[in-house]
Amino acid sequence: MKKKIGSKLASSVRQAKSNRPQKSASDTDVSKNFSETTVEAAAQAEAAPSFIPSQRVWPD
Amino acid sequence: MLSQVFSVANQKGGTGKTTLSMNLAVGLSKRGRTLIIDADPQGSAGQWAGLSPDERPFPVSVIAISSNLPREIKRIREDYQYLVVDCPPTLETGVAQKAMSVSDKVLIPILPSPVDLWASVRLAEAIEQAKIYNDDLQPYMLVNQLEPRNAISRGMRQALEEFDIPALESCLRRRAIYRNAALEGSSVYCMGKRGEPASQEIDALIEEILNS
Repeated sequence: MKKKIGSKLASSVRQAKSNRPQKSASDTDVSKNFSETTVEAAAQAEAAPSFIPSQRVWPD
Repeated sequence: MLSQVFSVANQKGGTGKTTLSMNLAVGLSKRGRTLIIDADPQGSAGQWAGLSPDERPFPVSVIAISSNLPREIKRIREDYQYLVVDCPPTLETGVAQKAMSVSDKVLIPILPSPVDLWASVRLAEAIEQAKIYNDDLQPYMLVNQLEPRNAISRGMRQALEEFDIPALESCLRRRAIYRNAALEGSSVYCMGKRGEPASQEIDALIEEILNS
């Protein structure tokens, strides 16, 4: 039973992989997501401190 | 200080990212100075810690970082032995990817469910992309809310072999104590005898990830 369900799940994962659409622009444009030298980062460097405490910040 | 950054990520909601982050951080804090970074705009980690009573504050600091995540992590990591980043349940904003770009390890909690497995296909692709920018990133899948008597739970390990990401031997069982700990703004480590089985499995997970 375990093996049967495991095989079925594994097969469904393979199917999900093969059904993935060809990488879209947003998927492949990794520099947009990873680069630290984007315009956004440059703008934020001049912005207010980026640490925003949560509701409470507990001392260690 | 030689620090380690652990991101907890999955673009699917409800997989237990915050629950894992909070309990993992408390377990790690017993081994070294630890900080939780709440990178999820929903602010669940901060909310969790905020529920703790004044006389028994949550044992690990929680900081929300809304921008410049890689830069801020690089800036503060020297002050801590362990950073745990609770990532948002989306890949669209790029926050999870940025966290992974400066992490040592990324833990991917996944529920024993076909839908969760299918959703992880895209995350696996994002991790492959993250590795382009962070060669040293070590991703691990972690089965969360395991029900040992459930056939799908038992079949998960075979299904996870379909991914190029290793699955941890450790897994977290479905336990009410995790939800109770959240409600009390606490961790399973502070729930007395009732929390022991859960804290033991978190400890086993920590040992595995620190030694892998």
